[in-house]
Amino acid sequence: MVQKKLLLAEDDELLASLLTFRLEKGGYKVCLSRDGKAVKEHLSREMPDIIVSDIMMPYFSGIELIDFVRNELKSNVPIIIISSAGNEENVLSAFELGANDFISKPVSPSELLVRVARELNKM
Amino acid sequence: MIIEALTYHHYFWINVPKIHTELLWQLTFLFIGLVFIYFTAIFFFRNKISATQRKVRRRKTELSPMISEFLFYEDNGLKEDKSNYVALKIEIRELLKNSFNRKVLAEILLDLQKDVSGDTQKRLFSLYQDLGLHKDAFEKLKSTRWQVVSKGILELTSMQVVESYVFITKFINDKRSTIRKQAEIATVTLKPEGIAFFLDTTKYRISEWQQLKLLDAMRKLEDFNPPRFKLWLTSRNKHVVLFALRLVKYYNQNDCNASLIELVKHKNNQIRGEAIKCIKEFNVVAALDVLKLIFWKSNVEVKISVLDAIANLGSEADVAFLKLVENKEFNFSVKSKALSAINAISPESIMPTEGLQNADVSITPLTDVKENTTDKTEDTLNSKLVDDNHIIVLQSEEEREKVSQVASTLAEKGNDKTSLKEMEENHSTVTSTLSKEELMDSLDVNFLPIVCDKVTVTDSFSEISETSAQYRPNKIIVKNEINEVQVVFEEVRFTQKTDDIEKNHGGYEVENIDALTFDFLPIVANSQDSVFSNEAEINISAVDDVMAIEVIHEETLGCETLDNETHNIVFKDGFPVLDVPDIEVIDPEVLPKYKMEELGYNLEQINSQQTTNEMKPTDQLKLKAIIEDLVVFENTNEFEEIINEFDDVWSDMEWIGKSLDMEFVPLQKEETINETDKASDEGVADNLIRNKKDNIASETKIEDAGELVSNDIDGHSNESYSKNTEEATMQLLDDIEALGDQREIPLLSELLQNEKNKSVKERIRHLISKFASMPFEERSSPTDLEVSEDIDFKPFNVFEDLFRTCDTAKKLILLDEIVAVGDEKEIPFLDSLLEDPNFEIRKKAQLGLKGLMNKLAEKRESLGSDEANDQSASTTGQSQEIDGAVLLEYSLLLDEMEAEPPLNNDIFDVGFEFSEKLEHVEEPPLLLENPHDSFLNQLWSFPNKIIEKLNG
Repeated sequence: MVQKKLLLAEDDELLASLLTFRLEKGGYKVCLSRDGKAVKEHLSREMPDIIVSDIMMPYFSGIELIDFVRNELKSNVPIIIISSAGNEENVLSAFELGANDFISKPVSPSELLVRVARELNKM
Repeated sequence: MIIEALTYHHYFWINVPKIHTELLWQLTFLFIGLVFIYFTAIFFFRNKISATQRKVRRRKTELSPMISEFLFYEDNGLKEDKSNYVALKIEIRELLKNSFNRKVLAEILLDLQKDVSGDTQKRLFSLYQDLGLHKDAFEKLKSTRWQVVSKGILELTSMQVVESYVFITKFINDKRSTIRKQAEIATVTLKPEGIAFFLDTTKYRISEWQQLKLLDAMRKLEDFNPPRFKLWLTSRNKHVVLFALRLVKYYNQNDCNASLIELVKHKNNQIRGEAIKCIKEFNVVAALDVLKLIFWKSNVEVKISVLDAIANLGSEADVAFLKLVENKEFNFSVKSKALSAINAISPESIMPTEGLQNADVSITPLTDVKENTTDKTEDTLNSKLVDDNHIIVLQSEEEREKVSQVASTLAEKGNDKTSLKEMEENHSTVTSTLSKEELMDSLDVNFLPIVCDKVTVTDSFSEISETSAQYRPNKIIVKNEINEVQVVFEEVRFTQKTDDIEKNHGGYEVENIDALTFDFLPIVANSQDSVFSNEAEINISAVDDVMAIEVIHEETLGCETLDNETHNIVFKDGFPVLDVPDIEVIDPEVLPKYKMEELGYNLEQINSQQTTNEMKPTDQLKLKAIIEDLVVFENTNEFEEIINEFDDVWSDMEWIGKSLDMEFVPLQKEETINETDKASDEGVADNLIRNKKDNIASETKIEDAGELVSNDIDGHSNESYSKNTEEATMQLLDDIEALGDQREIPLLSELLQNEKNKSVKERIRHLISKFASMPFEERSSPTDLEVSEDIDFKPFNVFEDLFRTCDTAKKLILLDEIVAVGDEKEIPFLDSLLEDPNFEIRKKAQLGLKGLMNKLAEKRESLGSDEANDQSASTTGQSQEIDGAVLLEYSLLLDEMEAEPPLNNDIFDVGFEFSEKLEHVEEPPLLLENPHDSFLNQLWSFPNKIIEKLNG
């Protein structure tokens, strides 16, 4: 079985490590990027099967990432947004730009895994 | 050289001081060393902190996968995973032996617990306790540093260590607020019953922010069953009560209505406000009465809350209360809230009133009329004329048509203030010659409100509306009393005449105007130089602009007195004049014309056209007096008296039936009063003279101004007037003779200069010569002299006044001063003090008297030896004074010993050595006259004075 490639864009090391661990344990090949620049570089090199991105990131926010993917890369790759609580406006913006799903912090890794699987199943 | 030396010699002390360069260098090196150490320390600690952070980060990176492994370990996993898990467990136990590693692990878990939720979070909490990290947190609770304790509580709370609950609750009433607040949140967070324990236990204030955090903690509690918070409504801690009220509202615990009603009476406004909010939330209608009761004693916020609650819970029965609030309350917000509450209970019972245009306008403004059609104008009229007791409604179709016709015509003309002459060109029916009634019509008086008697108007309103459409006030008001007349729209709106107006102009009935009451109106006259007369031709253009007409004396004093009378206005010479039917009126031609000269009218020409009626001189004087009094009449009674008097005097005159043409001139009154007031401060004679002068002056003013007395009256009254003046002057001179003295001479001289009557002049000269020859003393009558002889005037003593107003200490000091600076005049005063109830004063007075006598004796002695007789006399006096001093000393001694003097004290007459006393007096070898004046003596006595003062 071919592992699905997942790009995780998260600046919090601990959470990123935890989620990476859980997602890898869930059967995904996780590429971790700590900021917006790294995400761009990665995307320009290789397009993942799914993107899990935090909204708030250095250099390049999750909203800009969606815009970049949808408008510049013209990709329909599923994007799941991780947002902080009380950041509903950004979530709406993300959905308007083409985000597929969102999950709010504190994140339940199990829940994230389920959502990722669901989005991939939609494809 | 010398000059140079002198010049520069002075600057030696401002030369540059010697600099110790070695010390400076040493200081420089010291400071450089300190700076070096300082920056080195900063660099060292910064690097150390950075290194620690790097180490922590590195260790976190190493440990986080281990933690993830532990967190997501599943028992039903593969064998490899299990073995890996066991290996990790062994590794981590080794790591936990190091405190640094424990610290890093604790940090990792604390960070992760924020970001994860659900099952992962629970595993995280259990891992924390499995790793024994909570023990470190417990240790922190034992610390004396508040930040460590607080961090420990936070750690235990965050990691949900329920076992720590008992330990943390101890800090609920901690003095350190940070620990206390952390403990409060921990107590509520760790156990569901924590909130009850906290509310029971806490003694301190619960801040708003803390309340929010506690509420948030309760919200996050799983399966939280909130206690009945009404239990804490009785707490002694008002903050607990307030928080409990908020919790009651938040959890909708509406089983505490009675407590809420009671808490509305709470002293604390916050609790009151919160209770009211609860009442409003739970619809506690039973609280309405209490709310009304507490309303008046509450602050603005509570008042608004009460009104808000009443608006929600109230019924029609509460509207009265709300109206009372609206009337009585001064605060704008409260008033507004009351109004909104009324409208909330009964919608639209209060309509907006502020900032609205006048909706009662019977005639729409010209611009509006111009824009609208005639139908619209009619609709406006119908809608805006409110059927009110005070407003006449144009009910008939004909009336409305006429008004709207006029309005539309005027609208066509616009607001342009064209002269009547221009209108004459435009309209064919303008007459060039007008009668006096027509003259009134020609005057643009439509800016004036029509005020009329209700009966008269209701009967003749249709006529008015038909015939005098120019009199179109915006609102026609019917009032019986002039004072209650409401004047609407005083500004001039229309100045033109229309065809309709002019058509109706000719048919304008004077009776209609007479029926109206115009006596409150000011007299309006054109200031142009046109000549007014009864039959004069009036150029219509002379009244072209109403705005240009000068309004003189808008204040009419007679308004108040005439309001209930049935007076009419009769138009004379173009002026509305008073017609008093109950009295026989005077021919206006013999009465003063009002400021005709000021108005530009030719008085001579007018007079020549008027019929001159002869008056009796006495009547003229009477009339003059009446007019003079009319100037200042103030009330109805006074006016009535004048009218009656007037009626009696003039009942047989021939000018019955003619209008009384008189004006009220208020300006004279104030001047007269002011001058009289000034005169009140002067002497009797001055007052008499001034009053007389004022009378003369006021009469002169009246004549100068005008204008109140006609030339005819002046001519006839001169003789009698001068006679009266002569009598008054003679009376005045009699008074001066009886009461006056030399001081009246200047006044008499002045009178002499102004007087023309020979007999009076002679009398004045006689008085002047009499006063001039009279010695000053003569003005005192013999009786006065007798009286003055009988009275033994006490000599004025400057100390006596001071003495009365000061306290004992000051009195004692003052007595010393009396001795120092006093003379013979002070002896009676000191003598009187010998009977003072205060012993100290008495004693001091005795000493003072003694000292003063000695001083005076010295003075007398120093007068010189060449006055032997005087010296002997002074010796005698001195001996007497010394005798008195001895007696004083004796009495002082008796006072001190509290002994009664013997009845026969002859034995003491010769018992004292006067010489010794005299020697003693002469002892002080001071050059000063008074020993108390010497500086040393004053210094010496100063402590004593202070002590005396302290002793009271």
